[in-house]
Amino acid sequence: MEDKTKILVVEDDQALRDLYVIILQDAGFAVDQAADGEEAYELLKKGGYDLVLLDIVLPKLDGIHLLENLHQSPPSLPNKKIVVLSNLGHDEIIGNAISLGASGYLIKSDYTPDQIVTRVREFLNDK
Amino acid sequence: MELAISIFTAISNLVLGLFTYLKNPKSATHQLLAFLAAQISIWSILNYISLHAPTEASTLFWIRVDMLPGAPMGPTLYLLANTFPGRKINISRSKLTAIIFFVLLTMLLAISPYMFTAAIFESSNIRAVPGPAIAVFMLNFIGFSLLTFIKLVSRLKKSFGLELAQIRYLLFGIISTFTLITTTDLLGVVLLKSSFFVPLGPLYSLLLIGSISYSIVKHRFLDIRLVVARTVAYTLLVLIVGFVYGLGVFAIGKFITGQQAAINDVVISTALALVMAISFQRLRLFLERLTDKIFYKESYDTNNVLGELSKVMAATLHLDNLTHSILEILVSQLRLSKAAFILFDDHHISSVKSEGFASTPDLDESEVDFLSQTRDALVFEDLDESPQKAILRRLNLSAAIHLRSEGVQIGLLVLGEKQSGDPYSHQDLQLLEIFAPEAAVAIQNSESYEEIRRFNITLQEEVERATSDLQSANEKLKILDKAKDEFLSLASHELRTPMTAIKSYVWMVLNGKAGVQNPTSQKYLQLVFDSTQRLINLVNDMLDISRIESGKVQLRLEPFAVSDLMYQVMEEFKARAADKKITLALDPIQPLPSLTADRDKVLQVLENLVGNALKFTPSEGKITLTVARKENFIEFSVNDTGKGIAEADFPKLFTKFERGAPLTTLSEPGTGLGLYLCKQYVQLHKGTINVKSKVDQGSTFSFTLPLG
Repeated sequence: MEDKTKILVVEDDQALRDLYVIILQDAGFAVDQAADGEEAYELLKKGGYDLVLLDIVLPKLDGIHLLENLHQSPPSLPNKKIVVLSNLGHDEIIGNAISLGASGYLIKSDYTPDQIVTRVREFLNDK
Repeated sequence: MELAISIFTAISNLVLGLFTYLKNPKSATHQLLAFLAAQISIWSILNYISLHAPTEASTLFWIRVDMLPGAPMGPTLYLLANTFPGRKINISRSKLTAIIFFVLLTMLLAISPYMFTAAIFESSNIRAVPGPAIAVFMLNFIGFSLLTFIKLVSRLKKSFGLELAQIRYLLFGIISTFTLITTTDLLGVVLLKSSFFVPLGPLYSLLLIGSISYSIVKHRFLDIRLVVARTVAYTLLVLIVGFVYGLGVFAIGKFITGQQAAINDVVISTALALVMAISFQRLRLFLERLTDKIFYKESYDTNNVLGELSKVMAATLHLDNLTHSILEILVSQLRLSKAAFILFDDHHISSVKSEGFASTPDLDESEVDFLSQTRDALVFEDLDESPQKAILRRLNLSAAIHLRSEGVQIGLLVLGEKQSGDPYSHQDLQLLEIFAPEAAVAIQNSESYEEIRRFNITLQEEVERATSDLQSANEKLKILDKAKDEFLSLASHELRTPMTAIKSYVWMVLNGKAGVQNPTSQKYLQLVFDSTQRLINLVNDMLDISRIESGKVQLRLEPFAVSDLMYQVMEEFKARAADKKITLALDPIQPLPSLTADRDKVLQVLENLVGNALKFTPSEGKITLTVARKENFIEFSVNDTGKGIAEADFPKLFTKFERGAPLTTLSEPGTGLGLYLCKQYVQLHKGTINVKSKVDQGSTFSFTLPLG
């Protein structure tokens, strides 16, 4: 199981966190989860994730600051892709996230669970 | 020696009188002074003759004649004291007639035997024996001298400054001269019965001449500075001529021709006279220059001063600077103690600009009106007693010049006495007369300029205030706008999160992730899912509208293939159309150039129109998509076979939360924001959106986007 694709879900809302963990595990991924920014940062510093689904509005450390931290001091073992998954649709924040290295910005409410899995696969395949 | 005194006195008086008269022949003061000088002059000659007459009989005759010029002397002096320094004799006609009559009577008595009955030679003394008529002469002379004295003293009390000083000198000269003459020539002869002091008589008149001269030199009395200068020059000339002439005659007579050479005397005299005539002009010019240097030390050139004033008036617009500069020039050039402009605004004093005043001159408006009434400039010394004179006296002013522009009095130029204490000369007044109208115009221009300037300042202040108000309002709006954005952002975030959870979990159940549901549950859950999706769409639309309306939407323009876009739309709606048993068709697409536009926004518009068509088209209906080039535009159309829209409702279709009335009865509800958003996006692309529809015959929504 060591070569399973590793995904980290960073989501403070428990209902959604559980949902994303379930559908991604069902899709065959190895899924870690973090409920706040600091917890997520600890995991991301270690690195090695193939994909990270990152919320923006988070307790303790928000997604943008988290991206900044990673941008300034990248982990030795890199995380391949970080995709923002948030319900915050502010243009300015989307622009910030992309410039700080996010591969994409998805609005949660636009997607059904199967569409989320589809998009995740697309990002993973899109080198 | 007696002869020299008499001749010097006579010439000095005569020349002084003549020049004074010529200087201003129309002024009574000048006339009277000239008249008095002539009397003294004649009297001093007659006086000498009477004392050196060859016989007793002729001595008596000459004494009587000598009294003649004495008769009008006192009255003349009295008239002068009344008139000085005015231009008209300030005494009633009847009084004048009485005085003349009295003078004539005195003169008649003087040559009659009743005044002096005899002249007696007593060793070196000639004694005139007075008769009863001498009382009339004494009454005349002493009486008028006293009246003069009283008049001058009473005037002295009312005077100040320059006039005071002038009257003082006049008084000193008159009192001393007439007291001495009265004592020696009249009282001496009558009471002491001696004519011993009579030869000194003319000498006393030199006190009068001296004091008047001093008054002139020091105070430019009657503006005859020039007169004094010329008098002194001519007196010196005559003395020099006489000396040279006498010396010549004496020397030549004594050493060359002997004492009896009368014919030679005439020849030599003529020759000397010729020499004098030749040298006269040069000598005169030299002496004039010399005396001018002494008497005209403080003079100025009228043209230079006027030029300087004109330059200032032409170059200065600012009222304060203008008045200040003018006053400065006037005060320094004319050597004034002080000067001020009193400017009016419709009979009210609008401003006072002063130079050299200890405190601003305080005139009230009635005083200003009084001063403005006269036609000519007001000069204190020339004024008869009047309210105007009283005002000038109260403010210690010497002159007030009217400032008139186009017949309107715009102010007064008031001037204090000259620093030297002199009166205003003819030159001063002439300069002021020329300058005043120019100053009036310059001040008026300056006032207009001030008014415009003030208006401009007010305007500028208003604009600045309005601008700063607008700026602060703008700042507030920016803050509010940002707050609104943040609120909308966070509010939509908070709304979307639970809706996402509902939508996702319902989807899980609907898709068998929680086991198989019975058809009813399935149906109900589908309704939950659809409603949640509608809520999410509503939030998205509101966010989009907020962005559009705050101008924050920026199109990401890039070229793309229109046909690909159409296939994508067809693909998206294929399933839903099939579910509703609606035929979704795409008309064949002719080859099109690639379109440069914001692909996501165009897709959103198409999705919206097709979504609406699906909602409002019943089963078995048909939706047809068309895309074609129309000149320089690409036209997209979505045609359906739904119930159609009443024409009256067309205008409401593309507005917020408005829909055509027939549509509200349909089962499929929308947010009401979709068409409004479509219109905004199309217009952002500089395109147009239209609807064609007939009730029961379906609708066609079409929009165009420019190609280039």
